[in-house]
Amino acid sequence: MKTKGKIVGVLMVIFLLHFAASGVSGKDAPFPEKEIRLLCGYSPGSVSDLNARSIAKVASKYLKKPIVVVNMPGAAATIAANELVRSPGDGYTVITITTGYFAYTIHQQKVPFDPALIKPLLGYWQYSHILFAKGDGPFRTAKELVDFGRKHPDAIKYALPARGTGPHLMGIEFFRNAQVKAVDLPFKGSGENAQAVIGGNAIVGVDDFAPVKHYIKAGSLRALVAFLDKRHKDLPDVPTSGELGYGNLGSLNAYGILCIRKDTPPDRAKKLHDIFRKVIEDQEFTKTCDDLGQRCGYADTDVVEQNIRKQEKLSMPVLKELKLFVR
Amino acid sequence: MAGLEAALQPINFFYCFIGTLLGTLLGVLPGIGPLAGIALLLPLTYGLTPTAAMILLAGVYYGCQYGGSTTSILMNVPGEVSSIVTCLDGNKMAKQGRAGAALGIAAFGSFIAGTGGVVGLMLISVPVAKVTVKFGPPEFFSLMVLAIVILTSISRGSTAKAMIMAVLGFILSFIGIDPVSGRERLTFGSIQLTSGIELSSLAIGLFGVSEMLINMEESIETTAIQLKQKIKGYLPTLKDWRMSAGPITRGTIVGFVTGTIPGGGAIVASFVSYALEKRLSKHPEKFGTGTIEGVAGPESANNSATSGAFIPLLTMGIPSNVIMALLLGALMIHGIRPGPLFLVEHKDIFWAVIGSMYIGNVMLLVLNLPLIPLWVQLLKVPNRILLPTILLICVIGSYSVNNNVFDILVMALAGIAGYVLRKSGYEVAPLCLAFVLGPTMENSFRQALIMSDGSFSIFVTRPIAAVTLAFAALALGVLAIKGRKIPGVQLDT
Repeated sequence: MKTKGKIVGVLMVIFLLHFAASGVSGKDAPFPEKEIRLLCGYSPGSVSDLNARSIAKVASKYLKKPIVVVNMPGAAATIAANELVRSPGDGYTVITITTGYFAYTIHQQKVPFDPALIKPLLGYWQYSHILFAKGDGPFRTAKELVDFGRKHPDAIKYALPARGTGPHLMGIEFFRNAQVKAVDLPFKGSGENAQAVIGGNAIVGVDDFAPVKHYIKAGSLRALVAFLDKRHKDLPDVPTSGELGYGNLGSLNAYGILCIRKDTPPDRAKKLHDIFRKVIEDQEFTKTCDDLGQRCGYADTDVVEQNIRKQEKLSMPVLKELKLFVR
Repeated sequence: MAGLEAALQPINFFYCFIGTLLGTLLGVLPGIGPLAGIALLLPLTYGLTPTAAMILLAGVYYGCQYGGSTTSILMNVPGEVSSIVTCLDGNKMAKQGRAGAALGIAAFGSFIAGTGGVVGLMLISVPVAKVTVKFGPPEFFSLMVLAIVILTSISRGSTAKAMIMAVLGFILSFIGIDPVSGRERLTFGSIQLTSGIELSSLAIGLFGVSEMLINMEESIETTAIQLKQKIKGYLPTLKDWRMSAGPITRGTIVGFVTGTIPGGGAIVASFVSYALEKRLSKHPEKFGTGTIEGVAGPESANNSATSGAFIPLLTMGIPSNVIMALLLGALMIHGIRPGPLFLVEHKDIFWAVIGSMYIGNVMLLVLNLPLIPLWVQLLKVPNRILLPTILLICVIGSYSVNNNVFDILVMALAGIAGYVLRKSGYEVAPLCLAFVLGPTMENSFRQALIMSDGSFSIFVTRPIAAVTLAFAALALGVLAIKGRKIPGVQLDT
């Protein structure tokens, strides 16, 4: 009995010492001293997920502790955002999300947290949406498409990866400015809508360049319009919607951003920001982005905020029209 | 051929082994499946060559289809959603002391079908892809209708009860955000329900947890099979082989075709095979009591379906399901773009992957067979140890899919509901299967109507859709004419 008591006593002391030690080291040891969780509100394999993994992979060069991507898909990233808000504001939980989430997604749901508790650190990639048609189909230029659309109202169905998101808004704006009555055809995700156009089941589609890059290269799809401020470097012959006179829709492209809790200690927030900035400017990262067909680059919080406001302003009336507006 | 040589290179061989081993383990564990496994392994593949990375990840994918049948047969817990139908007859066989035969035929069937699928992939990828790429919403809808009609013939008991379960399954599948209108349905303000109910949690609950609850009615010292009951051999007998030859062959073909259709996949393949075997069998009333055909067919189908699923990806760059989308991402991170140019630009990778699939299937057979006696011994463990362990595995499995505690709640509720339903003589398989088909059927229907500006004629003017619907009508007619179910069939307990 006595020895048992002694052993328990020794174990307890060791336990307490351990806590004391970690308490001490917690203050003085450099941040981060354990792995950082990078929450991703989208499923594995999606554009956001792949970009998050790229950044996590390259970050291992600059951080001693790894960044682990944790997928928590659901409710268009609200579940992951909620998890961020529920995590302690100690800088060990970061989320990858898009500006579109704050511009229009939170207005389509009753989110269970206060979005003001989340603050962006920086932007690291931006969507580059385009309008595409079947590679060997009848429409070779945007003009042909618009002419056809004006003569045949409601004949053009444009395939979307989802309703009430960036590509949908761009589609609406574009066709409205071009005075064409077109109908949106929503699918579940980027693969399905591209397939619909390739198979001849939809006349055109709107999506980010990255998921359709290889179809365009192979000729299964043809890009007709670029919804960008200036022509895409991989698509030098494709005019922008602005050039065609249908409005410059480039600012509707959401940014992929990294966010943390607003009450994270400023020194840790700054450290995270600086590390991620270095990663974004790392050659390995830019090369991976290029391969994926993504537009990567650093965007500071002002640019990010502006993007959110602009998208929000443009999308509110449309959401109300589509009866998707909730709050 | 050059591909086989490449696949036999020590480094690729090694990754094939790791992939298939991990795949088997992930398949055995309920809930967590190839998607999670591939997602977790992805960062580790960055330092590998694209070939090795593909071999590893592909191995995980088809390896899962081997392991998925293990818990289905032993514990009535689907290891993989594509093994749900395996629970129906596989578990009954286990309770009759024939777990070894069931596991064995599942392993062999998987091997034969997996290899057959790879042959198919090798020989007819391109022509098949050219046909399936044209599939659009009208075709998907008509396929789903055909699948529903087939679904009704799976049940052992009353067709009416099966229909009720199917409708319930449909209703549950509507919960969430409607993809076509973007609005929430049946979420009752819960943010968790906005993404709908998770299939794995539902299946694990309805099958596994309910099974556990049913077993709790007996003494805690009971074992799944009586200790005195002799385990009738660990491998399938010659008679088993004779009876399984047909199902395995048909399962291979059915699975392969279903796998190539984007949105098809292993789960649809498995229950189409089950229904087909039941329809062709000389003793359909025995299905659900422990027939070996009910295990051989579906387990073969789900393996060849995985080979078929690669076709749209490798030939056209179109992922046919979420896992393929992840593999596509993995390739893209490595700078490879699968698509129509893949077969031209990266022939070496294509053939190396094919070569590794042959080897992988052999490896999996070698890995799985010796484990069978081990698994079978598990059935001798008394309930007081086995049942809590099963529950623990179920909980971990449910949680692991989305890192979401809500899924565990879903599993628990589904378990209780499953218990009540099964005691009342309802079968839960039609519910699960309708739950899987519901979204695709509804979305395709509405998308098709958008395409046709509201006209129903699109379903008859498009040839593939029209033929499939006619087939479904025919099958429905045959069902109705053949009459009611056999009277006096025992309730499923």
